[in-house]
Amino acid sequence: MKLESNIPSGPIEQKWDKHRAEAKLVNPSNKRKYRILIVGSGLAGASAAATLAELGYNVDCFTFHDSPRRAHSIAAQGGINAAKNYQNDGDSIYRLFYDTVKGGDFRAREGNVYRLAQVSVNIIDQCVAQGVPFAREYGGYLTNRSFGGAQVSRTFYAKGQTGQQLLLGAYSALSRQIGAGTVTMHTRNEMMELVLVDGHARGIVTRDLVTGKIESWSGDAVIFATGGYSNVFYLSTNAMACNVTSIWRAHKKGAGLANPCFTQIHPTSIPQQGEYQAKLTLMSESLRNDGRVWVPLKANDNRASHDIPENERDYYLERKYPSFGNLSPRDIASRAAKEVCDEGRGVGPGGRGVYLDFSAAINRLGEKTIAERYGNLFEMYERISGENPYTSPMRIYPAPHYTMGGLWVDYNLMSTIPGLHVLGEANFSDHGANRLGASALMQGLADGYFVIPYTIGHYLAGVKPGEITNEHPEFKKAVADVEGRVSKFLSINGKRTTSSFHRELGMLMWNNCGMARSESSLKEALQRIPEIREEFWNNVNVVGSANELNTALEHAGRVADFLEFAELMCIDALERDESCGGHFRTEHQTEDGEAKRDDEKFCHSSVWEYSGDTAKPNLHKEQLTFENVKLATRSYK
Amino acid sequence: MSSLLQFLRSTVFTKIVMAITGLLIIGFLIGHMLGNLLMFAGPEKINAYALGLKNLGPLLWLVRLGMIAAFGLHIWSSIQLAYRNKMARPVQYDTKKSLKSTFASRTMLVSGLAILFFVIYHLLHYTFGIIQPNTYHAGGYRMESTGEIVHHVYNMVVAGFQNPYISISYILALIFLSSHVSHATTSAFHTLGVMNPNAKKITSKIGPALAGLFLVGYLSIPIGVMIGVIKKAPDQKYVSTMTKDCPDTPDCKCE
Amino acid sequence: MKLSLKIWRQKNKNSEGIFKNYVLSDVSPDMSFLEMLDTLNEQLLSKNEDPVAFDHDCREGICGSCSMMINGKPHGPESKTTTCQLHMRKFKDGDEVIVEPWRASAFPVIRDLVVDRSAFDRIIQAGGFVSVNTGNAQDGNTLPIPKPDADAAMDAAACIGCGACVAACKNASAMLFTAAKVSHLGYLPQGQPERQRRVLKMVEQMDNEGFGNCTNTNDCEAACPKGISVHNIARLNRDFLKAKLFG
Repeated sequence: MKLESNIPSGPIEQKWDKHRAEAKLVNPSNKRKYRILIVGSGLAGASAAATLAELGYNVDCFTFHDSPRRAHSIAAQGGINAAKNYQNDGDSIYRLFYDTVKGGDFRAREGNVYRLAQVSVNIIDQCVAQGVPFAREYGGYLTNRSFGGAQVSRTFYAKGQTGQQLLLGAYSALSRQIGAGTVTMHTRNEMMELVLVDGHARGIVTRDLVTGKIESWSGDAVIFATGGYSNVFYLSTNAMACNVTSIWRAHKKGAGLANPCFTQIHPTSIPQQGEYQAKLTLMSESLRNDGRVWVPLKANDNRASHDIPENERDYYLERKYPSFGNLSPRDIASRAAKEVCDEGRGVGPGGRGVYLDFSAAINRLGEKTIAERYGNLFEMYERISGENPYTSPMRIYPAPHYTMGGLWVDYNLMSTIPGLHVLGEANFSDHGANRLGASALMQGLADGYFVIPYTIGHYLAGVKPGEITNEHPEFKKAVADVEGRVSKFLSINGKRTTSSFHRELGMLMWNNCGMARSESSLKEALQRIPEIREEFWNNVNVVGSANELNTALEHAGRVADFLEFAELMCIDALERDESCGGHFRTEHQTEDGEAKRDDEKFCHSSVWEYSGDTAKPNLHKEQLTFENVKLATRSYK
Repeated sequence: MSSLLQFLRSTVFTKIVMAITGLLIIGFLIGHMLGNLLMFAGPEKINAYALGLKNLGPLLWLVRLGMIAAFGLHIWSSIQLAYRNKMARPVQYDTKKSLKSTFASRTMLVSGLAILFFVIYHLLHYTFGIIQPNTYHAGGYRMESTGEIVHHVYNMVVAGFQNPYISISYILALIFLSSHVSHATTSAFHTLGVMNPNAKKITSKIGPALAGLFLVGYLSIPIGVMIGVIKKAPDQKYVSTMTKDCPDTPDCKCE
Repeated sequence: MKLSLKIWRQKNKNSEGIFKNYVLSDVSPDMSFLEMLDTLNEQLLSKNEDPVAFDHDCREGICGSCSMMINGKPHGPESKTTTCQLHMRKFKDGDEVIVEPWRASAFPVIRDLVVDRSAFDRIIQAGGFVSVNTGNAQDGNTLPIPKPDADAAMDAAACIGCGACVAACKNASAMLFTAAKVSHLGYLPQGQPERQRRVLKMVEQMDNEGFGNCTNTNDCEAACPKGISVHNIARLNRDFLKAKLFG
C-alpha cells in the first residue's frame, strides 16, 4: 500500500488554486459518458450527487433510507462554521485553519484543513442561494454565534436545526437533478459490497431492503459518503441505522483505514435512563454558551440540585479552564465530566451525569430570551427526561457522537483504492484527533460541493468510460459473496438476537475503548471481541427470509461488520501509545489530567491495511508535517 | 391549453370553484333572509317585495340562472372532491380521532346533501306549490297601495308554518345549513388565500357568525308563526294574478 | 406497566393485513414508544416470530422516519411530538394501544407499519427547489432578508416530511407538506424567480400522486410534530391563483 497524499507544493494559501489549475478536465460533451456511483445521501453524498449531475455526469445515488432527506446529517443542531468574518471580530481563513488544526490536536493534514477553511465561505453563499433560512439580524444580514471552543463568532445557524436545513438544501438540489433525470436515486437499497476490477473501484453490490433483491451496479468511479461508525458503541447519538459496513467492506478490499481510534465523545447528551435504551439524544453544544456546568463539591452528595448552596458547587470547567470555561473543546469537557463522575460526584441515576444549569442565564437575560435561544432544546429535554430545565438544571453526560477516523484519502479525497473516493465523516481527512463544533457540516458540504467536483474529474480524465459492465466476472463473484453471507446469517438459527450482540460489543467498547483507554483495557477488549464474534457466528438468530423486508437481517450484517471493525479500532488505540484529542490513554496524561501527546513517535496518521486476518493488520504511517502551525501543546486554560 | 386543462383538473382549482360558488350562494342566502324578514312587517310589505321580485323579469331569470349555475358548480365540485377524497384513503383506520377539526368541517358532505334535499323540497313547497298546494293558493292579496291583486305570499308562509311538521323540517334544515355555512365560509376564504395570522382572526369568525345569523334570521319566521307573533292575515278571497293554473280545489274560491 | 397492544401486521405490499394482539409487561415509563416496540420485538425474536417492522432512524424527532397512528392519532397522544420522542409516561398501566400504519393510497403499506412515502420526494422533485448550480452563488450577505421573512421561511422549512399531515387529514391530503415547501421558498427572495412555476408544478405532482383535497379542517396542523401552520396552505392557494390568473 502506497500512501501518496498528493498535497500540491507551494505556499499553503495557493495549494488549492494551484491544484485546480493543474487538474485534468473531462470534456463537457464527454461527461455524460461517465457514470458515478454514490453511496449515501447525507450532506456529503447529496451535495456531491447534485453537483456532479449539474456538471453533466450520470449519477446513481444509493441510500438505505426511504428518502435521501432522512440521512443523519439532518440531526446536527448547532451550526456550520465559515471564515466569513461578518462579525469583524478577527476571523480569517487562516484563523479557522489554525483553530481546526489545533482543535484536532495536530493530527490532521495541514493542506486539507486549509482548503476546508478556504471553501467554507463558498458553502454559506451556496446554501443561502438555495434558500437555506439561516438566522438573520433585523437588518436582514446573516448572524453568527460562537460555538464549541472558538473565540470568534463564525458559526451560521438555522434555529437548532442547522443540519436539517443544510441537508434539505442539498436534498433540494439533488431532487432537482432527480427530477431532471440526471441522478437515478435508489432508495431503500443498502450497499453490501464494493467491486474492484483490476484493482480499481468499479461498482457495488446492493440489497433492496424491500424485496431482498441483490443487484450489482457498475460505474467509472465510486464515492462513499456513508458517515461515521459511532454505533460501534451501540449507545451513541448516531441514528439507529448508522454503520461501518461501507468503510469495512472497502477496507477488506484493500482500502487503508486511518486512525479508527479517533472517536469523539460529545459532552452534552442526555444521560442513559435504562437498560432498554436504544440510543442517546444529543443536546446542542450551543447550550454551553449560556449554561454553567457543575457538580457537587462533595462526593456522594444526594441532595437535590436546589438544596446545594452555591459554595458547595464545583463549576469545574470554569475552575480548570478560566479562559474557555464552559465552552472548552468537546474532548476536554467530556473527559472532565467523566473525571468528576469517577470521583463519585456525578448526579442522577447511577451517578453518571453532571448539571448544566441555566438559572444564572435566566436571571441575567430573562426566561423569554433563554426560551428564544433554546426553547426547542428545552422542550426536547423535558419530553425525554420528564424534568423542566427552566426550573431545575439539566443533567448531561458525554456520549459517542462523531468519528474522526475513517478511510484514508489523499488530497483528491481518493482512497488507496483507485477510483474509490470517500467524503464527509466516512473519511479521515480534516479533523485530526478531535473535531471542533460546527465543523462536520462544513466538511461534508466542502467535500461534496467544492472538492470532489474538481478532483473526480482529474481521476476520470484517465479512465475510459463505460469500459466495465456488471457482466464482468468480478461482479458475479461479489454478488455470490453477498448472497452467501445473507444465507449464512439466516442459517445459523442460534439463540441470541442481533441487538444483544450489538449491546454487548457496545458496552465493551465504551468501557474499554471509550473516553479513556489504557493498555490493559484495550488488551482485554482485544481478547473479548473475537470471542463475541465467534459466538455471534454460531449463536445469532436471524428470523425471516432473504426475500422480504427483514430488519433483523439488515442489522445482522451491520453488527457482523462492527464485530470485525471493533478489533481494528482497539488495535489502533493500543498502537497509538500517546494521548491526543479524543484518544485519551490514561498512561499518558499531565499531572492535572490533560492529554499528553508524543510528537516524537506519533506525529502521523496510522493507516491500516487488511491482511486477511483481522487480528494482524499491516500498519502504514503517513507522517504529518506542520509548516504553518507550530506544533504546540494544546491549552485551553 | 394543456396547462388550462391541468388547471381545471387541479384539486386546488376545484376548491376555488367550490369557494367562489359557495360565497355566491351565501350572498343569495343573505338577501333571501333579509327579504323573508319582511314577514315581520306584515303582508303588505312582503307581498310587495315578492311582487317586486317577480317584476324584475329577465333580471330575475338572470339571477335564477346564476344561482342554478352556482349550485350546479358547487355540487359538481363537491362530487369531484368527494370522489377524490374517497380514493385517497381506500383503507380506513381502525381508530381515528379528530384533532382540531370541528364537527361541521367533518360533515360537510352530509350537511351539503341535506341542504340539497331541503332546497328541492323548499322549491316544491313555496316556489312551485306542489307540496301543500292548498296553502300555496290560499287566496290573493289586494295591495293597499295600488289595489293590485297579487299572490298572498304572507298567508302562504304562515299557513305553511302553522303545520308543525313543516316547521320542524325547516328548523332541521336550518341546523344543517348553519353547520355547513359555519365551516364553509371560513374555509372559502382560506381556499381563496385570504388568511394570515391577522386576517385569520376575522376569517375564522365569519363562518360561525354567519351561521348564527342564518339560524336566528331564518328560524325567526317559523318560530314566529308557531308562537303566534306572525298571524295569518284575514282571507281576502282574491286570486293572485300570478297563479295561472288554479287547481280549483274546494278551498280555492276563485272569483 | 402492562400494556395490551393491537398492532397492524402485513407481510408485504400485496398481502392482506390483520391486527394482532400482544401483551407487554414491564414497560418502563421512561421508555420511548419505539423502545417499547424494540422490547416487544426482542420478545418476538426470541420466540422465532417476525419482529414488527417500522420506520425509524434518528430517534431525535428530526429525520421524519417514524410514522405510526397510535390510538387514532398520528405520532400518538402528545402534540408536537414524533413517535420516537413520545415516552411511555404518557400511557397508563393496563392501557390498550392500537398501532396502525399511515393510511393513504399515495402511501402504500410496504410491511407492518412501514409505508412508502416516496410520493413526497416526487413532489419536491417537481419543483421544491431553487435552480441554482453549485458555484453560481453571490456572497450570502448581498441580499438582505428581513428577519420576519427569514423566520417565517424557517418555520415553514421545519417540516420533517413524516407524513403525519396526510395521516391525520380525513381526505389524506398532502397540502400542508406541499404548502410548507412552497411557503418556505416563497418567503425568500431567492425563491421568487421560480415562484409561480414551483407552485403549479408541485400542485400538479401532488394531484398526480393521488392525495385528497384540502377541506381546511386544520387537523394537519394539529398533527404536525413541528407545528407547521395552515397559513402556509392559504399562501399556496394565493400563489396558485396568482400564478394562474397573472402567470
